[in-house]
Amino acid sequence: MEFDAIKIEVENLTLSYGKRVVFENLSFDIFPRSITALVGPSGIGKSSFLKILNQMIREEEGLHVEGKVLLHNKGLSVDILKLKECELPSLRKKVLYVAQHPDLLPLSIYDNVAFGLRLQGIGKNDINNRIEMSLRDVFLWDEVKERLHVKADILSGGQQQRLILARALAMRPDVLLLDEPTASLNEELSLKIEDLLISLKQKMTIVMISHFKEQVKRVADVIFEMRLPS
Amino acid sequence: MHKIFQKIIIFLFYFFAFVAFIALSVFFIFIFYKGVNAFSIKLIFDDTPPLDALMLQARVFNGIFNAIVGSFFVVFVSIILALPLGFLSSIYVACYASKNVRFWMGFLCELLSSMPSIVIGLFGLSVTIFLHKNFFAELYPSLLISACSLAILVIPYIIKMTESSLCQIPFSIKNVGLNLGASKTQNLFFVQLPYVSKEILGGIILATGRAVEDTAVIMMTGAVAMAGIPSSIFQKYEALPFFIYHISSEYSSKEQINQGFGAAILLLGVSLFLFATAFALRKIISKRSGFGI
Repeated sequence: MEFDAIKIEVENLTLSYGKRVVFENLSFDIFPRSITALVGPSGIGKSSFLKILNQMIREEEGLHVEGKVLLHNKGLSVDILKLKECELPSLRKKVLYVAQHPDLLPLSIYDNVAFGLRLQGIGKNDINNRIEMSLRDVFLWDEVKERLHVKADILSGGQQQRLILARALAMRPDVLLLDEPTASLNEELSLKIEDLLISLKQKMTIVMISHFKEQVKRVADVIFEMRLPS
Repeated sequence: MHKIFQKIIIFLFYFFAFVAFIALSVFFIFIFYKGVNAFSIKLIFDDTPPLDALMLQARVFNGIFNAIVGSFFVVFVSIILALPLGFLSSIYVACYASKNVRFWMGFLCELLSSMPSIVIGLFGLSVTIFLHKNFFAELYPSLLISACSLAILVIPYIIKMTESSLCQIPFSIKNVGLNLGASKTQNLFFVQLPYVSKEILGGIILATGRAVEDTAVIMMTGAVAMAGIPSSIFQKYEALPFFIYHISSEYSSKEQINQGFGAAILLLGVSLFLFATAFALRKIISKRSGFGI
């Protein structure tokens, strides 16, 4: 599967956990090279929605998804809910989820970013370039360039959050799914990351969750509010 | 009142820990005292020149050399048989099996690991008799039968240890490879297995220790006294735990029972060696930074 400027069409999407319906009949479009922000109270299924978009939801037990999520790209449409298991790696290389809590491997800073690149069979020189570029993008390069080969878990929470964002950017995805990307950052860094996201949308489609209303207003092209059933 | 109760509880913790410590210390001091006094080169090789015995140019008649070699081979073959079966089936159970299959495999492993080893020995013997009568007239209890029976004994340990360590990987780490575009197999080999390699190794070494020390299985399936060093896996053999059992049940002199203590300290030494190996390998794995990719 090759993705580029991807449009995502969500049709009657329902997520349930056992008998509990988390959300139902969601229908909306996510436009290519735009930033769509999901807002709403905790527990309403925003993170699960992001995980549906790259099918990481399949790794969680007991969740049931119905409806359609169509990826439109170069005239082709694919319903990602119907993808076979063997097609998921291709999807996830292009539609990347960045978790709210840093999910770092117990490896060095360098190896954490290089991991996904090595999976793609990218050469060492290219890996080194991409690591430096992505760490610069998230304003982490100057802080870690002298200790790239030390364990990543020594980094602070904010540094770890930027590291997993760098890891995703190094993969050069077409769709970036961000789950509260600035939750552990101070105001100055948050603003820098917001600027980064605005510049990134020239290259990719971004879907993000944020609890900061001002941030959503600043960066989002489309705001989708999820509400509890009245 | 509440404070007194708390103090009594804490006293009981200290007391029982102390009792356990004393009991273990007495055991180790006793074995060590008896064993060290009996331990000598003569205990292992008797009057046979050690080099000749090691080169298999002369047979050791009254030492425990044959038992050491026999134990080594039977445990080696049993681990070779048990490792792929236990390791691969535990990966299937942990990563691919449905809830039902996981439940039944877990139940069977619990059942098998709590089964007395004499029952497994009896099973090995019964299967040998059946095969001997119906298919292979030349098949008798032997090193191979013992190794197969020991493999049945240790497979549940390997499965339980590997499966539980795979299941205990934190959710975020378990799936991070998948999130970065790895296939399930890549995620298993590049993330999950390296993450639990220390625990898996620990399980294998524990299983080896269990196979080394078991007596009931081997005494019913091929271990005998005075068999010498087997030249094939279809022959009878000597083994350290069987030697200890045999000599302690039929000794006629103080020297003979002392031989048993000498063999016991050697078994303790093997356990210590396995423990040290596990520790050293864990250290080596911890120092390695890459995840094999």
